[in-house]
Amino acid sequence: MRLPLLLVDELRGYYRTKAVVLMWIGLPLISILLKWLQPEIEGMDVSVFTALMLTSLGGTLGAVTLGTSIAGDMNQHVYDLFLIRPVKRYEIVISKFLAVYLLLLGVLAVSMVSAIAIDTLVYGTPVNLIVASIQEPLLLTVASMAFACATGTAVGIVMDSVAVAAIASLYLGGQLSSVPFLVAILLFKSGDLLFPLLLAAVAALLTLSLAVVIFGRRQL
Amino acid sequence: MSDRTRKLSADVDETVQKIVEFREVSKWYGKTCALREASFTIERGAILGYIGPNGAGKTTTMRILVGLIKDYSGNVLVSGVDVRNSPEVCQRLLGYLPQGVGFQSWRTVRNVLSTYGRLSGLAPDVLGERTKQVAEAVGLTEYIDRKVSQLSGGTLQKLRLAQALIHEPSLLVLDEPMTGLDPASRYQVKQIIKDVVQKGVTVFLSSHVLSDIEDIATHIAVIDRGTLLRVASPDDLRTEYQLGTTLEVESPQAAKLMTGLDGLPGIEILDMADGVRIQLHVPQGTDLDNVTLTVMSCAVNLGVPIRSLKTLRPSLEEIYLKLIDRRGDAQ
Repeated sequence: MRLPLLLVDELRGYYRTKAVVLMWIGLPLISILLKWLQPEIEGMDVSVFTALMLTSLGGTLGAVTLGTSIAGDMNQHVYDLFLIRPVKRYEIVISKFLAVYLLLLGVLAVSMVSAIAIDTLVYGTPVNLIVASIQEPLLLTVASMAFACATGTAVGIVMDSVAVAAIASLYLGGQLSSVPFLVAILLFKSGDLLFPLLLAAVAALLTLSLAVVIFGRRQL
Repeated sequence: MSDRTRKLSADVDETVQKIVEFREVSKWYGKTCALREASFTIERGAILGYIGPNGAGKTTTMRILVGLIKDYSGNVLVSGVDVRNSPEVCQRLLGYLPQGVGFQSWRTVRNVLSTYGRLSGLAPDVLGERTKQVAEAVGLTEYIDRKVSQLSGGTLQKLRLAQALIHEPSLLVLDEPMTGLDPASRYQVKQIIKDVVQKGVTVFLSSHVLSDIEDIATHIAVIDRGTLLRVASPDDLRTEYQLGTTLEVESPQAAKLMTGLDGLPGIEILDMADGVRIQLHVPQGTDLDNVTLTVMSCAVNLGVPIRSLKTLRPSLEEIYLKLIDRRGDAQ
């Protein structure tokens, strides 16, 4: 079982990539700036706005990071050197997905802590109110990002060209990550989170399983 | 004996003389046959040079051997263990340098060696020492903390070789290890291969340039369009494919001598090099002693001094071309 080794290795590789550095610093900044520039956004707390924005932006960035890095690695036959060792193909796919997803969760945590701090210190909103109001968007964000990352992983495995993988994962990652969110808005009342969450989780799992199957059969 | 070696001994009979055995192995890509019923063995301690034109099936053979291609017919054994049935056992015995393989640009040389070492099953407590040893063996010590994106082509190739050696494999599979290297780097890579062979490692290396492997291989296998044409030692090939002999005459008045030799029976002038050396082709069946005598008589008659006169063995290149030509003719 080489999955823990591969996961640590992928985390080491991804945490310093430009896309992830952009996420670490850029996403909290962007969400705070947007709220600052447009304070009229429905009277929404910074923290709620941040959580919702990360659903789309974070998921898309995660999908693009995965799509381009996997397609690039496959072009360079990087995985040959893994597969001639006691490493299973599914371990490579899952470690890549988990690495980027965990980093996104880290970004989400940093962004949310900053946003809550602003809401509390600048706008004087009590913490318990903030926590109550961000639970739903936060859960949706976590599930949507998983779906977007799984999509990026599948796109990277299917595409031969890095450029095409970038475009496809940008488009699909961005569009699909908001599907559970849209379902929640359009079909369910606030508080009925079970279906959209389940939808996002199942979609992520199915997409990742599909990616594993394709990678397992693909001639590298 | 290290723990790793002891563990290996439990799974593998390390006394099996045939470290690699291909039994009627075929591989098709759609309607294209990449390898057709290939059968050959590699003896422990040998260096098998695998030669063939681009697209002949060399890489396919090697990828089958290292377990990267699984859907083929026939059987492949490494130290008596079937590659398809026990991939993990074989993976521990094998080191592989794939053609043109890349590394993720964020990695350093140390990270490459330690990562692939860990993935190959090296324990963390021996990893540091082993990384140091391999880096030293292939001349990477001064680059150890450099990113792979900052390495030259030759240094990168040494790193590819080093990752194949990190877990002390018994069999090294090298796919075109000299491709794209300058003469100095080619020489260094050849030296590294010779050094690992000294330590008891068996080597299976491919090239489409015969001169790359001619001076290090103990055996040569020739493949063309998926068909293995011949596997033999270089000496056996030379004996079998007697292509005649080349006689090299060195004289300060080579041009004058060449004029005198031109047209004499049994002599075919091939080339004159440096203005002082003439190469003569003596066809198979012609008495070499008579030809030598003719050349010397001619030189005496013309009053031309001869500095040296030696016979050259036919090069494997000629045999290789003959094999490929023969197949082309047959088809």
